[in-house]
Amino acid sequence: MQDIYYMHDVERKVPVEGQKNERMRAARTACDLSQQELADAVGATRQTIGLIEAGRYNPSLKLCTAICKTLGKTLDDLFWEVGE
Amino acid sequence: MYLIRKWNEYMGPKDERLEAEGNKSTKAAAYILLVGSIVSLYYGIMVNQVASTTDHPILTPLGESVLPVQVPLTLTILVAGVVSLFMQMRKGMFSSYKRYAEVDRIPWDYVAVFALLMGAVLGVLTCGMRILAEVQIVGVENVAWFGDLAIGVVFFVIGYGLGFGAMALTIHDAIKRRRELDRELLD
Repeated sequence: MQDIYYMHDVERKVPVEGQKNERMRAARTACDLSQQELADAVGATRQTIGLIEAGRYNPSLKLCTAICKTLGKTLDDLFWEVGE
Repeated sequence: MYLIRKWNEYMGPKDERLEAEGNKSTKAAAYILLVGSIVSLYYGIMVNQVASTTDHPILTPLGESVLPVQVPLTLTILVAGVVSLFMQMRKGMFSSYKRYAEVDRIPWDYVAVFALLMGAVLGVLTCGMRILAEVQIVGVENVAWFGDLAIGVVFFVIGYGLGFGAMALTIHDAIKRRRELDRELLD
């Protein structure tokens, strides 16, 4: 039963507000993208990307997916909390 | 539908965070409007009820000293609008569309279109409501068509001027707030 997650549980899992998303920042810099370039690619503003990385904004699953696709990562890689 | 599609194509994608912030401010304004309208309506009902039970009809010199229901209603609308605007400005936003959400200078085309719309709404509303009132009070044959039209034009100009100034100031402040946020989130 513990393996079953409902959609709202999934959305709550990504990412925890107030906790910096260093994995996303690292993946972005590895792709040699600035916050502005990533923002342009996913249809968000630079501030929104900055706030996600700073852990001050909890993005929707749709935006998370767009970010993952752009950075060539999976949701698990960037947003899923493993053993945290 | 065609125009809406063209408009959306022109404006580009929306930023979900800004849209959420916009929704929050709209929600706050809706609550204020709802509560204020109910209180105003209830006050109006009570004024009429007391007037009808105390031999003091509302249409007398005494009635003139009674606070009209339009006052709390107007205040409610003003407060709702100001609170909503303030909430958006505090977050450094004036549009959730990416096209305008990231501008570094005031987009005068956007300001002009907004002011034009505001002027048009105010002008048409003023002219239309005056004609509607005159038709009921003095009859359709005595409606001052040109006078009403002239008043509509005057209100269009006032609306355009106010809309232009208010929108330019709002955007100016929003850009300033956004730059503060940018400094916090340096790449």
